[in-house]
Order: sequence, then C-alpha cells, then structure tokens
Amino acid sequence: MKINKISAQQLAAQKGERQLFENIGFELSSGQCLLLQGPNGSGKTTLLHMLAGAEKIETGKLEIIMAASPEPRIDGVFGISHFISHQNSLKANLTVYENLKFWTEFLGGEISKLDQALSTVGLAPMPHILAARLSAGQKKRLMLAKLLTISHPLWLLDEPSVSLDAEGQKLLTILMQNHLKAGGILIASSHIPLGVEFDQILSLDGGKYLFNDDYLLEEQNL
Amino acid sequence: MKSLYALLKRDMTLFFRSGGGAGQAIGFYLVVVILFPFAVGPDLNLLARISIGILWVILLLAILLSAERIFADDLEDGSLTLLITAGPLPELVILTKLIAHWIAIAMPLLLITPVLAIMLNLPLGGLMPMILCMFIGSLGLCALATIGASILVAIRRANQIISLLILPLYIPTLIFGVSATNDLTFEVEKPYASLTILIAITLISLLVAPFAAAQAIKANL
Repeated sequence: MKINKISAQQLAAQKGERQLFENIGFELSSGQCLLLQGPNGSGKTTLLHMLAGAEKIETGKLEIIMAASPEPRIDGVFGISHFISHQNSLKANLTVYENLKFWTEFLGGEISKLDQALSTVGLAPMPHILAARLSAGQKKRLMLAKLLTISHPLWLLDEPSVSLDAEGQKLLTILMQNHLKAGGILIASSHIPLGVEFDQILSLDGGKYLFNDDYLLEEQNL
Repeated sequence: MKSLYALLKRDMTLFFRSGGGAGQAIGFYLVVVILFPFAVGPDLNLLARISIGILWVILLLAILLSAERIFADDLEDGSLTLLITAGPLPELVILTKLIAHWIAIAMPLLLITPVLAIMLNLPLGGLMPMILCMFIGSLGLCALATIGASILVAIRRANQIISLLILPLYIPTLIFGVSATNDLTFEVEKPYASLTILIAITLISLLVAPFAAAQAIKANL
C-alpha cells in the first residue's frame, strides 16, 4: 500500500473557550515529512489526533490520495496510519511478545517480522517479560517495534523521542529515514531535533481565547 | 476476522491474569449466594420459592458491577483510540469486546450456578432452565452494559453512574428472565412464551449495542 499525497486545508480546533488553531493547511507527497512545532498546549497533539481520525474534523478537510487511484481515499486515514502518542497502548499484564503480537495481528501486520523487529529495537533478550516491568524507554522501544511489524504508509508521531536514550534516538532517526526512503509520509511533533531533515515545518502559535475580554480580565485578577 | 480473534484472545488473556477481574464477579456471586440462606433462615420452601429471583438479581448485579471494565483499561493506556480508529470497523471491535466480556464474566457464573443452586434449594427441574435462561439473558445484559460503559467512558470510576443509567434497561430482561425460568421449571401451559421474549430482548440489545457504543466512544475519545 503506497501513499501518494496527503493534504489538509483550513483545519481548525477548539478546546473549550480556546481556539487552538485555525486555517491550518499543508500538503505532503510521498517521501516527505512535516514537523509540528509550538509551545505546550498549542494543539500539536490535537492536530495529530485529527489526522489519525481519533478526533472529528469539524472545519476544513483532509484528503489522502493513494498511489493506486487518483481519487481521494473514502476512508480517510482509516487503516493506513500509525499513531504513536504519549499513551503507550501497552497492556501491563501482557508480555513484551504478547503485546507486540496482539497489535501486529490486530492491525494486519506480519507476524513473521516480529522477532526481527524486537531485536532491532533492542528488546530481543526479554520477550517474555511483562510490559509492567519495562522502563519508560523500553516501553517506547516496544511501541516503535509496531512501526516495523505493520507497514503503514503514514506515520503520525507525537513527541516520539521522549524517554528514549541516545541510542534509542539514533534508532528512531534510522527508522524515520528508512520510512521516508521507502516513500512513506511522516508527520511528527517534537521539541528536540529528531535527526531528520524536515521538508516542512508547521508552527502553532498557541491560539487565542474566543471570549477575549472577560476571560483575560479574569485571568489578570488571578 | 483475524484481527477480531486476536482482540478476543487478548481480552480473555487479560481477564484471567492478575488484576483482570475474573475473580471479582465470581467472588461477588459466591458471597451473596452464601449469605442469603443465612439471612432468610432455614425455611427450605421459602428458599426454593425465591431462589430463581435471587440468582437472577445477583447475575444482574455482577454484570452491572463489572460494566466499567469493558472500556476503562483500554481508555487509560490509549489502546481504545487505536482499537477504534486503526483496525477493523469500530462496531465489530465493540461487538468482539462485548462477547469477550460476556465469556469472561457470565460463563464462570453459569459454571458455578449448579453448586449454588443446591445452596438455595432450587427445584431440581429448575437447574437446566435456569442455566439456559441465564445464558441467553446475560448476553443481552452485557450488551446493555456495553452501551452504558461507552456513554460514560470518559468518566473515571463511573461504575455507580453506569449502574443507574442502565438499570431501567435491565428491568425487562430481569422480568422476562425470571418468568421464563419459572415457566420452564414449573411447566405451565405455554412454557416458551417468556423465553421467546427474553430471546427477542437479547437479540435487539445485541444488535443495537455495537452501533450505539461505537458512536458514543467516537464522541468521547
């Protein structure tokens, strides 16, 4: 499954009284990557959630065109994207191997790549340890292993380098480079350099309050 | 299909691992059934008369109390987002989770029912009808529990609210479940009338639950 292009137009998001961002748009074609920047709370994760289909797109539109057909994909990102968020989606009571096997099977990946993926991310010596016993960095590595067993053309990574050690970050860079070389598309948010030359950078400025006056006054009083 | 089987397998495995809650429902069921004869007293006839009602109420409570678990853990670690957005159709995913929950909660209860039935002096002829009706009814109850759990998925420790929310929906199942069991046990004139309605309620709940829950979860993610 190859992706040709993803384009977003006039996306906007609102959280309570705050307009996180509006008029966001970008266009990426096969092999390109986009970096999301902005202060905490500026809506990077919300935007990734929207792209991943976990949050409804109220205004604007998102179009995905696959290599197989020139028409925009009807299902949107459904079934073609990897979303790595700060939540690890691992079950503490399942072993490393069971966790990876479940997601690989569930998302239609290849079971045969499982052992290879585990050794690539450096978890080969501990397949039968419960995920509860892993450190934060090891959990992150296990999540990265998912990227290897299931080949999806669109990667959405939310702060992927968090809690990885130096070696882990190098590994992440290599994974991302290989993905782009293979014609995938990558959208990541990060505060530190990820070691990849980003084609485009999207800066979210932190948004604004919708009901300006009252709200600011209240804040000043505090 | 393979994805759904993997999900079913995972949910079952988790359920029977430590902290999964498989023991909780059985423990609850056991405790209440053991306490009842002591509270009611040694009148065997009275016990026999109320035993069917008691077993049904406890089954219902056991399912109510575990309702929150259907989605809570998956929401907490972010799995739910992936389950709903990245895999097979959300409705099928929810149906699978519902069935996994049913197998994990209701099956153990049905298995120990024969033992507990003796303690409550359930008439011997009532055992098979009891198990049959509970088997059907519990599936419907789990479906309704799924709807409740999905609506309140974003709220932590919502067990009590979920119980209040779905309680009205449980009453038809309870009425027809008890009356179907009674009818089959005491061989009344038309023994299958209530059973048919019980099956109908279960099928409708089972049909509605995946769609309702999928919408509720999408709105709550």
